[in-house]
Amino acid sequence: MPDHPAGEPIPRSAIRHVRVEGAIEVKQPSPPPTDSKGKDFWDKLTALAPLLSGAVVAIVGYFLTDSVNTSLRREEMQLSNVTEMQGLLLALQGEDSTKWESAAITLSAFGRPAAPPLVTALSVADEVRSPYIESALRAIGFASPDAVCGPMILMLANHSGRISWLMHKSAIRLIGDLRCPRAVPVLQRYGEILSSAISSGSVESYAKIVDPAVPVGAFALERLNEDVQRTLRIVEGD
Amino acid sequence: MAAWAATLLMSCGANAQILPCTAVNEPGRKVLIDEVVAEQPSLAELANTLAIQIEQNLEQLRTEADPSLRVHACDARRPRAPTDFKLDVVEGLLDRDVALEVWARVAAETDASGPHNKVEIGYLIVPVRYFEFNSGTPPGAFVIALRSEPIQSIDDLVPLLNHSGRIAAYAALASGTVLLKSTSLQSRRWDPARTQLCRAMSLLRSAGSARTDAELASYAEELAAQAWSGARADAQYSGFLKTPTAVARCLS
Repeated sequence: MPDHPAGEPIPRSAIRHVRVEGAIEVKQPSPPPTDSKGKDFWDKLTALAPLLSGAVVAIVGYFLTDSVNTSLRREEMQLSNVTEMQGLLLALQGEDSTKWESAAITLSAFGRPAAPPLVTALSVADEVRSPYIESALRAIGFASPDAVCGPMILMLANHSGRISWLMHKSAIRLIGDLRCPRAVPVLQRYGEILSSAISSGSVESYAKIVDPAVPVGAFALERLNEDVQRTLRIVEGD
Repeated sequence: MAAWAATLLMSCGANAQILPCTAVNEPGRKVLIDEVVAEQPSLAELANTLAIQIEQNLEQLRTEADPSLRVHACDARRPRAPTDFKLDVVEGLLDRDVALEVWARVAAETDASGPHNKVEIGYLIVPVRYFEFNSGTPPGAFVIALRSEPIQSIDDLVPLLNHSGRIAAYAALASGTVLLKSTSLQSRRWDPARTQLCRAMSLLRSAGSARTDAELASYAEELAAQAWSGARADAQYSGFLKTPTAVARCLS
């Protein structure tokens, strides 16, 4: 554009091209301040809710189903164990002595679940079956010490006169073989009772704590005390 | 005799096995008599004679040597061999105060010399079997076999079947062994142990020439010597075994 004195009108003939430059700004009032962050979370949560609830239901369902299935499987296994063990326990209690040893060995293969019925069988076993049942419990105890140590310690701590001294003897031997760590106080107490009876020269005080249906002699008492001392040395040595 | 009628078994091929004996839990020292097995029905009379003879021998032992000893029959108990008496089974018997167990069987056999009857009497001396299980010497469980002609009269067999001397010796040996090892008796054990062991040795030497009996006699003498040396070393003991006249060997 040619120079022209400011303030004076430009003649229309002189205008050939007019270019207008500028910008239009539209201003709107700004929104009031809000907690945009929280709203976003809830918004997102609301948006994700169907998805999340589905996932939660799926996860809970998975674990619940798994837990129920595991529980059912465990019960099925227990039932199966009971059925299979029943035959073996009957063989162990039966008249055919040629089956006793194999029945006891097979029972030990069931592991922990076989311990309770074997302990019960041992508590009433005779001089021929006892060694087989002890061996079976020993085998279970090598794999699962708690399954055998617990019941044996309980047996030995039972001085009510309902457990035979022969069962106590088996318990002492098994505790030693399995090196049951929590047996020391029970063994010490038992040893004190035995030593007291032996030094008094009478089995009377000891006989009170065991089943009177299975009598105990002085020589047997001495040997039982030897077993206790030997077992204590083994268990305390660990 | 009624007990024997129950314990006598005519078992043609019956399973021989060691079954529990309910009598083992009876109180006191005891002797167990298992079933006397006749392998063939034709041998029932011989088996019966044998059963009666064993019973008489044990009764004689009870009255002459040890009235406190009890004799119990174990129905259906039929050991096959001494090896049936494993260490843990024997320990169970020792725990239950069993001194001696006797079993027997009769069978008709034929070998190069012709047909004959075989009589086997098995003995388990419980303490000897237990304490000498690993060494096996002397044997604590063994069988004494006798042979008779089928035509031989049963009455003629009775002297052969009479084992009263042996049974008395085995019972004395069992008793002496337990007494010697009863530490709680302390100095009170030496004299009775020595008496029983010397008696066992003397009876075994006169029982016969069986190798087992000779081994048991030597064992009894060895234990008797231990009783003698134990007594002499025991400060609490002041009995006969400490006198200068007492010697290690048993005096007959």
